[in-house]
Amino acid sequence: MKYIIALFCLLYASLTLKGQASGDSILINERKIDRPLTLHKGQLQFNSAYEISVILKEFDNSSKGLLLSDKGTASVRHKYLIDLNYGILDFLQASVALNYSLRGERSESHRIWVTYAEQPDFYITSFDEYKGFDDLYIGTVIKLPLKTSVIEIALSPGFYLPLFSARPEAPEHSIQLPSVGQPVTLITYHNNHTSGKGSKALKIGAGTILRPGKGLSISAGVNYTWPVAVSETVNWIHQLSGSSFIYNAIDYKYLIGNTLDYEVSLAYQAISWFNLSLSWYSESTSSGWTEVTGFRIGNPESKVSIMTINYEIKATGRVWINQSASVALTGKNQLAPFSICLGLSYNLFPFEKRIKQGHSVNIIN
Amino acid sequence: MILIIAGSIAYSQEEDRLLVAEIKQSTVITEPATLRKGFFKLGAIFTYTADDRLFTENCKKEYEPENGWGSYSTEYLLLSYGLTNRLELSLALPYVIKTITYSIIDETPVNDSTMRTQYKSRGNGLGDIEFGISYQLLEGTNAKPSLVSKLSVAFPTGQKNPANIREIFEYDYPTGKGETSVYLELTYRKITYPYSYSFYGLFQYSFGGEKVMLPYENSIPFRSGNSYQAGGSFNFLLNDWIAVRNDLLFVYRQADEYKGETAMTTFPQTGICYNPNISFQFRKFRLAQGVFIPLFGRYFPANPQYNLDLQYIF
Repeated sequence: MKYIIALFCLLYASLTLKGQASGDSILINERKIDRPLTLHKGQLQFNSAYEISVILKEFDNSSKGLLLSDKGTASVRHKYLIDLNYGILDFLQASVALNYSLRGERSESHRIWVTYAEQPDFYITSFDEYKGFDDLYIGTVIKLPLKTSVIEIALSPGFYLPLFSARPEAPEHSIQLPSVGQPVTLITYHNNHTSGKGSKALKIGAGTILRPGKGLSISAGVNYTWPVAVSETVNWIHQLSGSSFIYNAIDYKYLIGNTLDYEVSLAYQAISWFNLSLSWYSESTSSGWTEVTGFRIGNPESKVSIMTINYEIKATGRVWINQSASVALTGKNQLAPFSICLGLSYNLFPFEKRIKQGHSVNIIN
Repeated sequence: MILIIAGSIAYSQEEDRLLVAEIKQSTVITEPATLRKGFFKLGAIFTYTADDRLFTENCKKEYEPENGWGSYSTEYLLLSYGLTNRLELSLALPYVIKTITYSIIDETPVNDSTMRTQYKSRGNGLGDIEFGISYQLLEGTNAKPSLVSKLSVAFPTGQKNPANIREIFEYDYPTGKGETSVYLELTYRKITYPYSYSFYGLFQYSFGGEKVMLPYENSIPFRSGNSYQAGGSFNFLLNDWIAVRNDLLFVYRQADEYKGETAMTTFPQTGICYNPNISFQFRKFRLAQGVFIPLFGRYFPANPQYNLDLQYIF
């Protein structure tokens, strides 16, 4: 992670040193609601964001919200989002995105009373750690050539690559046997998990933006993602030998589910540099299976709907600051986080000399 | 002649008014080191953090694996007044909100029984009120650096003992420390538009007191460990009204004392923290937000803290 951040910092610094370009005038004069669905030709965009999510609730199989904080099992997720976009043509954009996240999830502690005593015989805690990169996304956005600025439509095909292994690290269980002053056997089960799905997958998407005027825009997007191959990972089993654990990896196969997601957003351009938006995002995953002791068990269906309020401030033509707060309102077999995300977008035209005068202008008035 | 004199007086008064308005609208980079004479600042700070990770004895950042969830939030109301161009008085009124939950499952195979027990404790109320005096030892200008000393006192106005005890893990948490503390702070700042940088040091001394540490126990004399902080910041303007601050902070806090002896349950804490912060200046109103991130430490909480700061200068 450190090397990736250092690499992006270097890239960011080198891009900053490129200096001012006349393409900046496009960005300075363009309000958020006027931005086309694809970047301008020659525009390079680097987005980075940090998201902190407090997960106090989850939705169970019957879509009922369960308070995790009451069970002492609430958790915090930290997510770092990075993506790079480039406008190849005025209607064609290339995108690469990679996220990193980490979260620790506690379970309820167990006290086991084998004998009738003042102290329990065993005190067992379980802890699950999720960390790592999500699967790398590589995609394009292709804007349809409509001769109007009121509505735009674009297609966004892409694919996910599990660049970073989906194989979780071995568990880190520990045991403290009873001793003088500590009559209880303390056992901590610490399991490691990855963040990414670890599977090659294809995505097809479509998006649109409608500008009815009066500083308003309505945008919508829909995506469908499906796996292209069965994936393989390991399940760790443990055995206690004296006071230390021995682990063995058991290979198993799985197929991730098909995911359908959509987002609808209403944005208001209050002033030229301030945009406020409210959006509704919904995601549902179905099908897929996981091999358990040689049998393929179907993955449970999951759904989540999230409402987000977001603002963007155009600090300069090149630097845009955005912040959002989102809350999961409904769902099924999913966590229900409350998240705050702070992002920075840096834009420039690094190869501007190659663009013919007047050719790159694609301002929608 | 009278018309000329009257005109020049009116012009200079208008110029003064413009200057005053400009100072009140200055950003976190360019603002005077202390409030100007007669200026009054009203502020509110919202902070939130959750109990999730800590730096261990080996300086390793680890999750707290045991069951439990704690969230902490403090809302401050801040009042500051410029007594002279170099002397500022400030008052901080904190309101503390704490929630801690535990859940334990007891299994008794002999009886073939399982029982879940959940504990939920809250602590809401006034915290320890802080009063401070800042003085510019070196009066800063755009060309010259400033050196500000600040002496502040935190009074034990918050609830110091557990109250409304229902269970060993279920009671109203104290919202105050139960002792008076003094803080001495020295800050050096230099503005090189559109940048500014600063260095500062802080020493905190606590006088101790007497309080109940845990439910069903008697009150004991105690004294919190002294704290030493040193740090620096590098700040820059993105445009005329958006500033980015980067603070790096070193903290060392001694262990607490119970009954005159070093407490067995507390340890000297060491930490290095980074605090990126973005500040928006809309005329006399300022909105700033940042995340306080512990980078390194020993016996030190490793939980990021979110801060939102609102200010208005009258």
